[in-house]
Amino acid sequence: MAPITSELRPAPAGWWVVASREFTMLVRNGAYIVTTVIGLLLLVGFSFLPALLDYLAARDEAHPLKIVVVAGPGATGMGEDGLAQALENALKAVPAGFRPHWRFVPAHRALADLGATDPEQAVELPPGGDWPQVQAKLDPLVKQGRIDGYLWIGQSKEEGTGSGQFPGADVGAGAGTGTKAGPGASAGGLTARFTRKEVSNTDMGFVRALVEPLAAAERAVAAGLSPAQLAILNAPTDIEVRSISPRFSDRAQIFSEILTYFLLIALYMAAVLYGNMITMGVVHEKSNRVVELLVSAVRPIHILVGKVLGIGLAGLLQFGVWTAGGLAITLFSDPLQQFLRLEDGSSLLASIPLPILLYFTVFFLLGYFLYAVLNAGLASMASRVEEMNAVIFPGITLIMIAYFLAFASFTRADNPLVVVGSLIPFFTPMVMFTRVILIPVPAWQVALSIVLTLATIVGGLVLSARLYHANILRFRRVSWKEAWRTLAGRRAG
Amino acid sequence: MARLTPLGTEPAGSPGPGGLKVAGQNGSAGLTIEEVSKSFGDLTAVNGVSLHVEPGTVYGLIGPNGAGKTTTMRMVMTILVPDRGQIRWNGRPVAEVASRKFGYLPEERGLYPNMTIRDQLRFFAALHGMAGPAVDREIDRWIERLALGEHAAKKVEELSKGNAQKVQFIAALLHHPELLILDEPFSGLDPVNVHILKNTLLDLARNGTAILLSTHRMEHVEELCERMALIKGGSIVAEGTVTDVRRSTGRLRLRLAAEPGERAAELLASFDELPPARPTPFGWEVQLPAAFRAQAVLERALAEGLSITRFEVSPPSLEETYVMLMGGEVNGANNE
Repeated sequence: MAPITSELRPAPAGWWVVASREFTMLVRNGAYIVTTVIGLLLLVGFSFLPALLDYLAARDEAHPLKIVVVAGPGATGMGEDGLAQALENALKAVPAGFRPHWRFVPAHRALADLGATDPEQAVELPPGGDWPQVQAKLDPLVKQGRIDGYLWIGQSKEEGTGSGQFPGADVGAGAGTGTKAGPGASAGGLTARFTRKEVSNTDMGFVRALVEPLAAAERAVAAGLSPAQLAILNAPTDIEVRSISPRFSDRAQIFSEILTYFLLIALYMAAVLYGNMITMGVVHEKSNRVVELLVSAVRPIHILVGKVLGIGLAGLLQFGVWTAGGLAITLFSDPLQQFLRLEDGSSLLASIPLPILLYFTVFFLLGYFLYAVLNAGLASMASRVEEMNAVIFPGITLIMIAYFLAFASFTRADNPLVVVGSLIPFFTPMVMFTRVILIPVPAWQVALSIVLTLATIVGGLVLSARLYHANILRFRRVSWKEAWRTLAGRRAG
Repeated sequence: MARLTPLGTEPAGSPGPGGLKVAGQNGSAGLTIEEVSKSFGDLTAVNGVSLHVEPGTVYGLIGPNGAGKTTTMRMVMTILVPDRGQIRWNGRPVAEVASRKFGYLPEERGLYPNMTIRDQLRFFAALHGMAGPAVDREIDRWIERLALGEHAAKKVEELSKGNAQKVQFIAALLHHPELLILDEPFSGLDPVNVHILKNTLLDLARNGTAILLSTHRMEHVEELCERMALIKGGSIVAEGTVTDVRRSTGRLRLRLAAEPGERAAELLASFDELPPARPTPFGWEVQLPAAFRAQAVLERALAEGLSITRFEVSPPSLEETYVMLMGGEVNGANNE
């Protein structure tokens, strides 16, 4: 036999050997690598989401829809140019953010522009702006996309005044189907017909908001109001919109709420998936009997600790890769934004605020260890994979309750049930995490929940190890009664 | 009691010239099991078992399934805790030394199916506290010796049962255990591998390793074990050298051959105390009653001028002893 030489260095403690094996086997696993990469891609995608939305909005702003204004018979005294100008002014009065990205162009100018670029296809409107003729001329242009839409305003011949039909604007997808431009409704004898290839749900409201004041002014003048009186009548009203709930008060809040949803799901997945790995590991070792070799060399509690640590470290590594990806995006956000030619730096790229990241790390670790320890003990009651589900349902049930409680806290983070739930160790990782991000939670509650959870992890480890030790050589399904006897301290063999 | 011819089968595992027999006198060297008992609920698996395994010797535990062999071994490995009694290694409680100084091949074989042989062996060496380049060389040496070379890079799930068993055997002794505990080490191996394993065990014993093994095969015990115990229902019914155990029934048998052959049968028949003799390839064989003096047969043969070619008084074979002592419970003996 070879003598024990100096090259034979003492190996680390048993729990560490077990942990390294678990870690190595997991990290080399294909599914683990794929999940890590997909997670990283999702994270990068999520970070660019606000920038993408802003970019799209900015593009709309830069390229407003060209709406051609056609003055029908007896429209107003303003004429096409005046009408278009009045509509532009009305549009400008709408606060940014609530305003459609439109541009009003008088018909004669728009058609002249079109004819200038492509004389072959020049279009001319008949004088007087008779609706059926306008429709016949302009619908093809909308269909071809040469104009984005048109707004016809005029006196309706067919309709009596104030006939009780839709007042104001008549909005139809006329060019899209060619049939929807039904009879215009009138108010004070004025009818507006708005045509796009496909009208959106908000168009009706916009058109009405823009046209109604014009019609009102027309009627007021007709009723004999002086321009000065009209000015008083039309004096703008300041409208302010406010939220008094802290939620949705600003964009950052909305963002952090969406983020919290994502992170909550991540916590849930971590508890379920990593917990499942522990369970599978324990059951497999039992079913293929390698466990007897393990316990002959290492104390059961070391096997348990090693397993939980090894898989936990692999989880942390995955989480670390994602965090590093997030940090990299934050660090390089300025050059990235310059590269993407985005203005107004920091707010465009989403990065996870540090406190949220910190809380997530803490509750991720607490949740993982708590459920891992619980699962390891329960899993030892099964001897085959088929028996696994029957023994781990208490853990699964607790995770589900925690998950639903956490969702409940999105609507009522200060609900007594939620507050109590956030202090119960098995629910803390998800419920307290959600609470602490959504609303200010007293520090003592956070501290208490963390201490309680830590204590439960340590106590759970001891109980789990006892169960594990007793069950390890029971190569059969262990009953709940037996498990209880083991935990209650009576020697079961 | 006269014994003219030596016993046919001395244990082959007696230490050779280079053998180490360490401090057997004070009784504290090696493994000492003292009055150990273990129950599971109402079932008493092990009841007051005592035995001693000296360094450099092989000790065999024989008995039917469920006799308590595995439970005893698990208690030595500290996987189970005895209800009563003490187990010591060189005078120290086994709990202090089992993981570093003992190697174990459980009856239920098991390895990680998706690890390669090499990774697996490194893992188990590390579990027993050994790491480094020397371990890798040890692994290579054992892979070579047990003819696993072509499989070294394979995962365990790709191996045959016999090869996986050899890997597990290596895992049990990579850390140079002072005590090797092998639960049914030969079951499932083909004759070539049984031969390789036997020689390996004898080498290990020669180099001072104490070995405690269980088996159903009497010939393995006779070839390997210096001492043995027959265990039944949790208790030892016979203990000692193979010869001691064979003598433990207190029965002797006489084999007598003469020229011409039938004269021997006639001579035996002339003793009224003797039961009827039966023919064997070695002459006529008869079980001797307890107080019978075998010498009397020889004296009468000489007096009658009989030409004797064989006169052998010996205890029953190990297998016969086993059957006698186990009574009706000859369960699984000699057929794996």
